[in-house]
Amino acid sequence: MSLTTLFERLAVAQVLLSIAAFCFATHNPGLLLLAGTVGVASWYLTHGPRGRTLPMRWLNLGAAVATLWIVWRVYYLNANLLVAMGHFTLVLQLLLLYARKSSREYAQLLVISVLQMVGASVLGVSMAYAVLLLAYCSLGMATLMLFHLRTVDQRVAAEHAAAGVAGGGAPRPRFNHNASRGARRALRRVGVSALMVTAAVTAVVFVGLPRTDKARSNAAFRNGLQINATRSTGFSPEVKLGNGPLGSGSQEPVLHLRIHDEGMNLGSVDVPWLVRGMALDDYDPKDFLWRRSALSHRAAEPVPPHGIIHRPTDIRRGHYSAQITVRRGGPSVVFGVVAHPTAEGGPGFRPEKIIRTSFPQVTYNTLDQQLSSHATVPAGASYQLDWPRTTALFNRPANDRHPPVNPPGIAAWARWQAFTTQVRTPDGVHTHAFRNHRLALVTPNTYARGWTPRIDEVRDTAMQIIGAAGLQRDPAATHAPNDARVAAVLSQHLSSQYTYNLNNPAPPTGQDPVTHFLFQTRSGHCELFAAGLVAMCRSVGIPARMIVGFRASEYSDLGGYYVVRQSHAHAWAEVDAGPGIGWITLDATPAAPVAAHHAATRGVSASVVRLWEYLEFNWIRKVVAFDQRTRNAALNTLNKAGAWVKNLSVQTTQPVSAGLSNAASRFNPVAFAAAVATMGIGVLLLALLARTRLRSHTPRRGQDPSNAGTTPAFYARMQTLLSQHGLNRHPSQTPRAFTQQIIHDHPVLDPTLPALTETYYAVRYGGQSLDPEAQQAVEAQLQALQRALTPADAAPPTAI
Amino acid sequence: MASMDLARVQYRLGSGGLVYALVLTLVASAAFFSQSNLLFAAVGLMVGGLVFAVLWAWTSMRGLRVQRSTPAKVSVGDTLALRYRVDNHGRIPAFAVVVRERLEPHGSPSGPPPLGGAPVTWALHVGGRRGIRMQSRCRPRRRGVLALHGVAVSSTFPFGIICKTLSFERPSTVLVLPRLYRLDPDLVGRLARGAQGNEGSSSGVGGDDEFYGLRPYRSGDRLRAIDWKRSARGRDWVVRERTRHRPPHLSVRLDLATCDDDASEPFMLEERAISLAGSLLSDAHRAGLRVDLHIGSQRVTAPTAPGHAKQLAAMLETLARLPTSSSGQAHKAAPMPASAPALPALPTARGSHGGNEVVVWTGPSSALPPPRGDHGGVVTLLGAEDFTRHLAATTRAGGKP
Repeated sequence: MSLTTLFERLAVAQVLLSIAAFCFATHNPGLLLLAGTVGVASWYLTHGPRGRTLPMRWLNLGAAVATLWIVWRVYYLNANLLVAMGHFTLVLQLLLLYARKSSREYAQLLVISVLQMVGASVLGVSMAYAVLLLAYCSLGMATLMLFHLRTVDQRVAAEHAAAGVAGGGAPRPRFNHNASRGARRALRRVGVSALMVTAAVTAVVFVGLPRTDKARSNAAFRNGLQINATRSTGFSPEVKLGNGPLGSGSQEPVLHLRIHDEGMNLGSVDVPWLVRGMALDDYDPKDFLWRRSALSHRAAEPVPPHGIIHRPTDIRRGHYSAQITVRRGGPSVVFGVVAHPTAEGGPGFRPEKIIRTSFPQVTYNTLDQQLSSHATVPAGASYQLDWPRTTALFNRPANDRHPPVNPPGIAAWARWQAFTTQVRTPDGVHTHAFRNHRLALVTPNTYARGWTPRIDEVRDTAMQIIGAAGLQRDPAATHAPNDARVAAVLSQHLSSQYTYNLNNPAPPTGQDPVTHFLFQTRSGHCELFAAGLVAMCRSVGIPARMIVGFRASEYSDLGGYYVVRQSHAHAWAEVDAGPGIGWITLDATPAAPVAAHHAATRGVSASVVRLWEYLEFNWIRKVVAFDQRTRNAALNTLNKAGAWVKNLSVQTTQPVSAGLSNAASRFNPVAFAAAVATMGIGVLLLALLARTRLRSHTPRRGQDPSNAGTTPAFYARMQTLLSQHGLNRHPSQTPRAFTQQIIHDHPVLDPTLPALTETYYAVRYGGQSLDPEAQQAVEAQLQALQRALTPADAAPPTAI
Repeated sequence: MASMDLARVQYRLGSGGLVYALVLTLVASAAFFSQSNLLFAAVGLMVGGLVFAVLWAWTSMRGLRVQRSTPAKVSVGDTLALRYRVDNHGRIPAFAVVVRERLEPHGSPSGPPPLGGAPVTWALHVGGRRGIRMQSRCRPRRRGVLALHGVAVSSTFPFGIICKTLSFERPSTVLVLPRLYRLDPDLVGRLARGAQGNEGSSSGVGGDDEFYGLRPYRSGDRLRAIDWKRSARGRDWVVRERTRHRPPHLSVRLDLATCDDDASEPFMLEERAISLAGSLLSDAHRAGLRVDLHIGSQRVTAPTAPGHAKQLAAMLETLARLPTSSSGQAHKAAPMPASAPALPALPTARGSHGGNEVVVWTGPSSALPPPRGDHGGVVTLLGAEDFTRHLAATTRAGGKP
């Protein structure tokens, strides 16, 4: 294959790779199929035997249409800029693939391809995309080298044409000729060296370049990530009921969750955690839509730059720490983590501190404990969330490193809340009491209260349930001491008397799906369970709201984290248990069927998938989510390594210097001579070795260095054979004349020697290469020549 | 073949360096703008490419040496092949090695530059401790001494970012002869016949042709010339004399002094006149005539002998070095020969040597009637203005001169 063909193939492959990477980054398999087909077909349609290129006017027309198209999309359809630009560059590349390509078109193609990869790199975070990016960079390096060689070739040819010698033939080497094997080998070596150097420099630059917190707030960048907001991830800031079956969702990972307890990694398949997303307190009975009320937005407060939301817990009790890595970008919801509640309920969401750099501006809503980012949460964002550990209150052993199988119940939580409200308020840090004060200022007693659809039936049902449990609740009361218990009874009733079903049919038109679930079907998915519990709690006067998020139960032993997938989307309820307790978590959905539905698949393929996800998780966490904090940690590690090396050198040199001083005091001439002799022998051996290696790479004395790299090996062997018998070619002789002279004197060499000489001409000057058959033939001819030169019954030929 | 020592190493931004820097700036801006770590990695990759390009430019081509061999002479319009031998004494191979001649700027105020462009060639690969041979071609555009001042070996490998140039200083010259055309055979034949007819006898004694007569033997005569029969009859030795062929003689007189300074293209006219004179000398010599060259009133060389091109070459070299009045005072690379006379004006030029004379000047061929020479020979007037009608048909049609 000539270098021209190789370059053209590499360039087209690079363009196709960038198109594939863009489609992969935007999760658009249809576009990948279409653009890939069109792109691959371009090679056969333009480079085939009957290949024809598109006329330039068609290409210009296509580029003009594409320009109008992107303007229309961006300004009139408000499409996100990055994706629109990516589609635009994709169209331009496809058009150029069908064009007649000179160096200028190839340069345009490669630059547009780089631009497309830039856009795709902002959108893509998966490791598969990283593999594509790595392949693209490697391919790009080779393509760039060949493009450079082609450019040099064409520039020299152009200079020749300008000098008026175009008809005289371009100088050697022509780029469209086959490069010699040595040149190809050397090019490959240079390519590998370039890859190694660039990889090392990339690592240094990647770690060394400082990161800033300001970029994520840029509007254009947010727009660039809107692609992720329109994609279904199993989580939505709004919940619309009444649409029938929910579906099981895909297995695509959404985020990874790693939980630490005082530095120890916690996790188990048996103990799920709830990843808290959006708190929905407003239900629209007309549209059957759960959403966040406008009232909630009034209580949003920015989180200070140091990330402290509440006063950190007493060090004696410590805190949990969750490392969350968002695999896909999404809306501005910042996920929190709470323990999965027991039958009596669990503590609410009470974050202490959030450490993040991926989205610098975070607000915390004191009303619904909602963490929100100022902008869209970018793909690959990673942050750390701390919340208090209440284990000490219920006497958790100090050496217990397992996750809390039985999370703290409401009673324990009440004691904990009472403890924290008594803590003094430091400056700038909100305590529970302070928050309640602010809450009273901004929130009337209508928050998360009230229920409209079939209120009497719902209330009667709820009252019957709590009455059966020996409890009472005045619906007109704002709070009651046993609200937590009442809510827990209602939750237990739902989970025990209702059936979990993902395929429940849609309610009749106009009928409220929540009441339809409570009174007719008595089966449904998690959203209906959560909505039913909220409806019953509200009907008896207890504030309640729906929480949507994920249920993290798939624990990866390989990576020590929970994998949260789209299919793990979940909904539950939070109930205000009154002063001193606050909002508690209740999950009315039957646990067993949900756990079965969320159970990880087993088998070899599942293991492979988990391994891939583990690698991808590390990729996202360590590379994609690399931020200033991670950078500082990496630099600290490097500093420590440097200090360790320094200490090691000091520890090593000190004994040596001490030994030398001792040796000087006890100088032994014999030992000194033996050491010198040993060193001398070593140096001599090294010199011999170096000389041997050097000679193997150095042309022999008298050998023409210009021929050393070009004479085929078989011809050199032939010359050696002839030289051993005194047949040496005079420098003024051509190989053909030399052969004719030998044949004249030694006809016995006739069939062999001319054949070898002609093969030499074909290889050396004809640009041909020896295929395996030809190599075998040449080998046979060389052996025949050797036999002819050393006949058993004849004297060797005399020298010429 | 001259070996050249390393004189100077230069680094500069290559042709692709600007594009590379622009793309790097773009990617870096996108990285800082979006804080996308993949783009930071892309920035690192591009910086790595830049570092590798710098390292490669710094380490490669260190042991590169170039030898150049040039032909002594070449005609205007012919291909001048410059051969190079590039030896890499280092261990690191060199790629995309461009070898370019370094020429002095064209100093002549009129006429085309000596070359259309600097001769250039390139090699894909020069292995470590290996050598290759290269060749570049060019076509000289004007006669004179072509001065080659040095060779620049450069490479922008691997990405065209950094251009490393090794400059080797070793001046060399190539004499560019005037462009020689194939003249109309009728013209040459007519001149040959005229010269033949004008000289009357083209034979003399002392050759090996036909029998001329007998004479007594003289010391130094060849033994084969002795007529043994007649010598045996007499007492003295008799020697047979044979005639010696004397080819016709054509004298070419180049007259540039009559060039009109107000002419629109005096340089072209003078060059055409010189080319016409050279072509006439060459074709007449090829046709077997004895030729000699006069520049003005002074004969430059002795008449050529048939079959001996040495004197013809000397005439052509004289024409190559001849300065023209329209190109300033003198050709910078070809100083006026010391023996060059002041050119007389027509019609005072006359053949004075016996034989036909051709006067080549810058005017038209038909401007003056063909005068008769003082010796009785014919003086033919050839002009540069309509010199194309004297060319061979293939040459006039655009064929190779």
